[in-house]
Amino acid sequence: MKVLILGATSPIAVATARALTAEGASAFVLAGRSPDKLKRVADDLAARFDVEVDTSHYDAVDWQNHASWVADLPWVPDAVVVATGLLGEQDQAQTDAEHAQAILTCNFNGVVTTLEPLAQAMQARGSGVIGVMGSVAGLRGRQSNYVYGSAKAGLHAYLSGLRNRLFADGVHVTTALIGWVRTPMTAEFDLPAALVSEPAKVGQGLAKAMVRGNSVVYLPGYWRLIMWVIRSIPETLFKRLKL
Amino acid sequence: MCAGWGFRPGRQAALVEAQPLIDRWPEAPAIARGAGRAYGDAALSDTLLSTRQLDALIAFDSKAGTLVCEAGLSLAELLEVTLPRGWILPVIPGTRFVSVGGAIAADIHGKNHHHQGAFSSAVVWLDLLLPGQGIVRVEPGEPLFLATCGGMGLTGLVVRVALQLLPAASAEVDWQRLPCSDLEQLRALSDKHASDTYSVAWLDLSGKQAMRGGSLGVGELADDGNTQVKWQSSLPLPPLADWFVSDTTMRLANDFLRWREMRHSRGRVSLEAFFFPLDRINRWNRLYRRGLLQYQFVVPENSSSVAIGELLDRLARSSARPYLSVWKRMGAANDNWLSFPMAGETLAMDFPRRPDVLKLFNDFDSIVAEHGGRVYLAKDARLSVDMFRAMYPNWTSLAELRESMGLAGTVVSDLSTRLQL
Ligand SMILES: Cc1cc2nc3c(=O)[nH]c(=O)nc-3n(C[C@H](O)[C@H](O)[C@H](O)COP(=O)(O)OP(=O)(O)OC[C@H]3O[C@@H](n4cnc5c(N)ncnc54)[C@H](O)[C@@H]3O)c2cc1C
Ligand SMILES: NC(=O)c1ccc[n+]([C@@H]2O[C@H](COP(=O)([O-])OP(=O)(O)OC[C@H]3O[C@@H](n4cnc5c(N)ncnc54)[C@H](OP(=O)(O)O)[C@@H]3O)[C@@H](O)[C@H]2O)c1
Repeated sequence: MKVLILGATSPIAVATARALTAEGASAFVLAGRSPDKLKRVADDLAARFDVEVDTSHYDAVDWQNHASWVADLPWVPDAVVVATGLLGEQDQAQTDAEHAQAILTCNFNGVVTTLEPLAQAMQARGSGVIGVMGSVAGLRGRQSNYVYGSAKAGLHAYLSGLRNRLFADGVHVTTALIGWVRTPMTAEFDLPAALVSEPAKVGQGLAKAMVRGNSVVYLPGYWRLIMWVIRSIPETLFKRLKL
Repeated sequence: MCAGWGFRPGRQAALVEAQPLIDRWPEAPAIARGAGRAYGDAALSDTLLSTRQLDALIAFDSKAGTLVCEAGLSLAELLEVTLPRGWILPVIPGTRFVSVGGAIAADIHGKNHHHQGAFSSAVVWLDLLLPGQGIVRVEPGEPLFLATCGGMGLTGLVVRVALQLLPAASAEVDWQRLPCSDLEQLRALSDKHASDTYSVAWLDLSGKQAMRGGSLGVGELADDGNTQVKWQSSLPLPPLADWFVSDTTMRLANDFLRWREMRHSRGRVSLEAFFFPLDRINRWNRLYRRGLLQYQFVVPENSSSVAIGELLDRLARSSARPYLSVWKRMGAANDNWLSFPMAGETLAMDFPRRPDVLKLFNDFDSIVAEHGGRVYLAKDARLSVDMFRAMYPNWTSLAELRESMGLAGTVVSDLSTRLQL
């Protein structure tokens, strides 16, 4: 299995990559912005497992070049993992359009413009799986992070359409609705410890879901229940809450 | 709330994640924290610099058996990678959850200390992050090496490490259990099996008399070519299990162990069963809900039987009894300034935290110090400054180095404050 990972420096992506080696992954292209951080992840994978690892410079914002970047990959991947994401600062996004733009592009626009050419190639070949890190924050907008949340919501809708389109051609799309995970993204927050998962667990969950061909998974699973509760609060009440 | 493996002392602390490409010490006084398996206050401070994200392998040469990794990697993950390719850690402690950085900071010892020495013997070099100076490479023999190995994090953050591993043809151990009724017998058995690679003894000190029995466990790595590492999933502690822990129930537990341990037995067992029996139960330390105190000391060869005799006499006069006791004959000391092991005998005893136990430990300290022995800092939470200085005469070297390098005010743990380092 040849695997492309976008945003490979994310600890969840690293865990997914490690778990995919147990499912037969033999070659990786790790894509991202920081050569030093990518090299660290590449060295780790190569030292742990008997796999081939390359890195590639990739920026989600750089939409003009996404198609040619995909065309330049050494192979059409059997599996794609999308971990790119930017939580950003909600406060700043409310006044700074450039920041809002960055959040939207990194979580949504950039994923669309990268996955389209990839989907086309995988569709033409007639197999493959695409696993994308969505977020429970995209299931209901809240004042504390709705710019990020809405980008993820757009992403979920996009993936649902893409899954629908690719199904007939044997290409699977897995949407991971991820809860709180202990990563750099959440390092600044004081989250309830019992609800924060380890990247390893979430990565293993995503790898398994991709191999099984699951469509939408909550990671960890108990977030299905939490989000069912949160989604069932009527909007008239919800708008009054400080969330 | 943050604490060591023994729960007390516990305190509020700010946890800072050391980022993978870290090159600066935090602004505030801080101490490195690995997997939190040290029992006392070694990895406690206002600010904890956690290495749990520093878990990458950097290179593994499976022909030469050299491995370069980040210091937050656990020994378990390390073994998972190296054993299937024929290499094992020269020093393996009693739990696989220890981080490489923690293993260096405590210069840990294993069941083969009498042959192999402490963990630092496997270190080819280490990269150390120093406040104000960035990262420096440290090699064996240099003062910073002697200070860092066994130095309980007090020289800065070990970021990366190169290790030389030993060849291994199996992930299984050929093991043998030899019962004994007293320390005399145990020492004779241990002499007879001095050439065995791994050896450690279990003692039952839970009764009224000093020792009710024990057994020496010895082992050799098998050579069956079965090098796959598989950990059994660890069992959770049953709810409220801690309510059933008392001197009486633990004596019964030791009765059961004695019934099992006092029979000669041998066989081929997994790495986990031989080295990490306690890891089978997830966070077993919660059995000691009011705190767990371990007393581990070593006394030099020439006076070990007298010293341990006096110590067990003192124990017999106390109302406290250890719930678990482990004995081992150690090999020669190394040159590291605060390294624990020395040629002689070490005994580790687990007690529930109680006032009478703390008093007992103070008396133990006097006996150990008088005979030229010392207490293991990785297990300690209460040693006094005077006793520490008597037991670790090289403390002055570390204190001077910390002063001259400006570490005394920046690399600070509750242990360093308590021991005035
Ligand atoms: C069940 C059990 C069995 C054990 N068996 C043994 C045994 O057989 N032999 C033995 O010798 N010990 C044994 N120990 C003790 C253990 O090996 C040591 O306490 C070890 O230091 C724990 O490592 P850690 O990663 O958990 O470190 P922590 O507990 O987090 O920290 C311990 C010390 O290491 C320092 N440290 C951690 N990481 C770094 C770093 N990257 N750079 C600099 N300093 C650092 C900390 O500052 C602190 O002083 C055992 C402990 C338990 C709980
Ligand atoms: N952590 C959580 O609690 C949580 C919860 C739900 C969903 N998620 C989602 O899980 C995914 C992984 O996140 P994480 O928690 O592991 O956080 P992370 O470490 O911050 O990972 C984000 C990844 O996206 C990359 N990235 C950001 N902007 C980029 C850009 N413009 N171009 C290319 N790459 C870019 C980052 O690369 P750099 O290293 O170069 O910055 C990094 O690899 C994200 O999609 C996130 O939204 C996380």
